Amino acid sequence: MKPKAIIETQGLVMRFGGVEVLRGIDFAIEYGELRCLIGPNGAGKSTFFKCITGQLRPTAGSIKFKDEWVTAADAVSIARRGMGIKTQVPSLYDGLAVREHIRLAAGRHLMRHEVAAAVDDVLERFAIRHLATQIVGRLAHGQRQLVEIAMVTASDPDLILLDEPAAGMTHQEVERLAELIHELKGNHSLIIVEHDMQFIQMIARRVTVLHQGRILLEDDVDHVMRDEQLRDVYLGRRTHGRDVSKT
Amino acid sequence: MTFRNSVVTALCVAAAAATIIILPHVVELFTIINATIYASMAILTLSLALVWGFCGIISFGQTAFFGLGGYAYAVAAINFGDSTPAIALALLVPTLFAGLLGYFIFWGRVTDVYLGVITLTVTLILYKLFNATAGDAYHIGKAALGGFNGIPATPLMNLPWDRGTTLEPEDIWYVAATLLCLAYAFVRWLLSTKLGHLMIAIRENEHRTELLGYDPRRIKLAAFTIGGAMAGASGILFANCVFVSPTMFSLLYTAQVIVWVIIGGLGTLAGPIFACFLLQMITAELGRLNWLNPNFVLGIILIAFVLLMPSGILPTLQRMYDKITWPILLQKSVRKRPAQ
Repeated sequence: MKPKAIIETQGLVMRFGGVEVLRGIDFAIEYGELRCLIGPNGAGKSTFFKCITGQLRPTAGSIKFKDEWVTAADAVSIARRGMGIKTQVPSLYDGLAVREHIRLAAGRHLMRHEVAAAVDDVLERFAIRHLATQIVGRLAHGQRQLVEIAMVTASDPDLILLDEPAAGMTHQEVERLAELIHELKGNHSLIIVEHDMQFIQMIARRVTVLHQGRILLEDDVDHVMRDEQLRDVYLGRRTHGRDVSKT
Repeated sequence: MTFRNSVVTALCVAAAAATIIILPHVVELFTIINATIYASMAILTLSLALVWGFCGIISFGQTAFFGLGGYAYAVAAINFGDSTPAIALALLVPTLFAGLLGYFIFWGRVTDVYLGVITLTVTLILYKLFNATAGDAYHIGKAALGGFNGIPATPLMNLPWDRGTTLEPEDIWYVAATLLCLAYAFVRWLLSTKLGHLMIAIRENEHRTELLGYDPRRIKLAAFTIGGAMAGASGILFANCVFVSPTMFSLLYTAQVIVWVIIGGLGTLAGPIFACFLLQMITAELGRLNWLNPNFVLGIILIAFVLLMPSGILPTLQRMYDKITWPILLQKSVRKRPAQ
């Protein structure tokens, strides 16, 4: 029996005026799977995230999340169905304390008396208890990244999308993040957009390569790393399936 | 709440209660009426401080709800002959109007400056509308709307369900001042609830709040409607110490309330109330002295504040207090640290 997909897109197209950013993406991941999404700048990774989270309405194609078509659903209803996103540029409440962030996220799905314990648990798991009373606007970039991931986790989504979670983090923070992601994998499905190949090797088994709005490759991380096509894409030698270095 | 905070709160409550009780015994009637007007305007200011300062909704429409509250009260009190149901109706009308207006604004995804323009336009439409009600044709039941002159014979409040016992100006002061304290306590409480936290979250980052699964439209509608109800209550009190007229919808009042919130400190509650009282007292004194146009002085004060103290009185005082006390607290903590 074919394993059940938590999210599935069919022929997803996103066009801005004359520019086609996504050109018919057929993508699916299973419940409990961790998938890395890679590709050079402009490949359409963040646009893909915006489409599946309801921030953008796709021009064509369809999106199925937890067995329900959500193509036309808005960001609020998709989030309420169990999808959480950490955006590429940290989207936080700069004037509020770290604890307040976690409390807002946990308060959406928990009863009032359960929130305090859940907040403490998340602060502990992400080792950010010492930052609990700090105003987020005054934190370093890496810490802000961690707070956003902690906040998304506190809202207990079934599917977590992380857009460049390791960007701007120190080596120790990246290692800690990799551990955290492994812990999250047990309870959540994850799609992670990342450029840091070392980090990808630390966390992922399967990788999808996006290039110019299309899926170029989908395979195990070790195969993908050795793939000529990927190297060409990252070095800017391949566009639309032809080798530009020879033209 | 810490012990220190509890003591400060208790002292503030005691000081407010003492001021409310003592004032009518130590000042003349004219001052009491003025103080009542200031208290009613302070509730209006508090409504904008909540809506704009804590939910990020820049509303120029608070005076629309203020005027509707006043007119609904005057019309209902004249028709019923009793202020008790009139007050209930006068609270209901601006609340429903704010709810309806807010629904179209927030579900229509109107934000930022466009929201300001729409609320200002609605206020000015009401101003023009009530100005055009001169003549016998414009009346609701027994109440003639009176056009530019408004309803000069606005009935005063009476004891609940006792139309024979009309309140004296001193009693109306007690009502207005107590209501101001209750409104302040209510807003403080509201901001400590989940809804209050979500209002602040929307002010800080509406998009993130959406991505967490909260519907910002509902939260903003709740804040806007509560603000409308408070502004309506302020209009009822104003009608009891002045009288209702289209001036209640005027640009002057709209601008004044915004100025008080900016000068007092956007994102604070006590600051705008303090600024409201202070600036009205300054305006009244300048009017009495009659050597400078009060509005001209008010404009200069606003420019000075925007340039020199952009965050407003209360946040600036808070920062100064922190600057003074932090080195002392730091010294104490260093002294307490055991020797290595």
